[in-house]
Amino acid sequence: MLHSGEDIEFDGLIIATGVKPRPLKEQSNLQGIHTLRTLDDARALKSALAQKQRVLVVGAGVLGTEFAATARGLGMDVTLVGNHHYPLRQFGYQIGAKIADLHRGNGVELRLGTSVSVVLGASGKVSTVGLSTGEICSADLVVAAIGSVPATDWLEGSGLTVRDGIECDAFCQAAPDIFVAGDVANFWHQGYRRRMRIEHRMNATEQGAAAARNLLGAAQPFCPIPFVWSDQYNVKLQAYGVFPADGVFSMEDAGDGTKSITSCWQNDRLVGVIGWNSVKELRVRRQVIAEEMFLTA
Amino acid sequence: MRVLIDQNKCCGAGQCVMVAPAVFDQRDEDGIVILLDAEPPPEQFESVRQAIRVCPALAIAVEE
Repeated sequence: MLHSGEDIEFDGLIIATGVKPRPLKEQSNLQGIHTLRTLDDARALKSALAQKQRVLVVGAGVLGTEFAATARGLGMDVTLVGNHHYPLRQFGYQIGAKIADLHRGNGVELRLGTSVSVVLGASGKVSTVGLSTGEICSADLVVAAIGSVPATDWLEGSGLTVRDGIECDAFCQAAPDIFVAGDVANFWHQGYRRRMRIEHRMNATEQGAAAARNLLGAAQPFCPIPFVWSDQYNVKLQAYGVFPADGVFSMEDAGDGTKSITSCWQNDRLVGVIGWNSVKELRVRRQVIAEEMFLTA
Repeated sequence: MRVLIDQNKCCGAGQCVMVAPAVFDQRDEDGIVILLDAEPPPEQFESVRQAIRVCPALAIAVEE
């Protein structure tokens, strides 16, 4: 049933409502506080960045670090705030340390292991951000990149299981004739033998197609190797696989620091790889992950 | 079939190379797409169409 009151009947349904950016807890009605999710968000940021700004990015994940790099490339003064001691912490401390050095080397002020405690403004516009360390930072533009929340409010009372997204099986099916795809889908991955919800760009394409095929009766389990990339300064960072909290990381460096491959192992099985300017070699490692997965699946 | 690539759009994800390695490759230094075969034989058509579907940057097109 739509807000307009109109009822639409279905024989088959695919839910792909995605996620919403998590707002800053300290968020107020001040101008100059942004999130980045939609085309309109991107346009608003682009227009704000047309003139020189003191930019403060909250969140040192993939989005936060990439935005910081882009803003720095546009000549902004940039401060990047992350609540862990390393940025991109899911990729292990070695990548985290390299990314931190990369940003510092490009003139970004890093404030790690801290969080935002207060956002203050003047004349309706953001002016100052206070950190949990007690430090006060001036800012004209604040970008919150602190994760997202599955858009499932509308499903309350629907009978579907909503728990960190919409739970579905290995075939992306949540209930008879109801399938789920994309950021909102919490699915059972047969290869990794665990539930996962993937917020990466490629998953929208891959899972959308898989859910549609299965709705039409294909009955194929969805077993992707998650893939994410981020271009920051002169570095192309790419990652295949998963990076569990109990993963063990090891980095192979070409020697001069310009290229490396970091592997993530779980129970002696290769489950993820991260490439630093190593696009072709990484594809070979992806194949190893695929083979390891199907050995035990 | 004539394959068209847009290197300015390409983000170097390499998805095309995984599904159609006879048609696409990546530059060593930055992973940007290179075309190995601009007019592939019919047995490659389905792989090329798959590459178009999976390209995250919509950087591949064909003229048929």
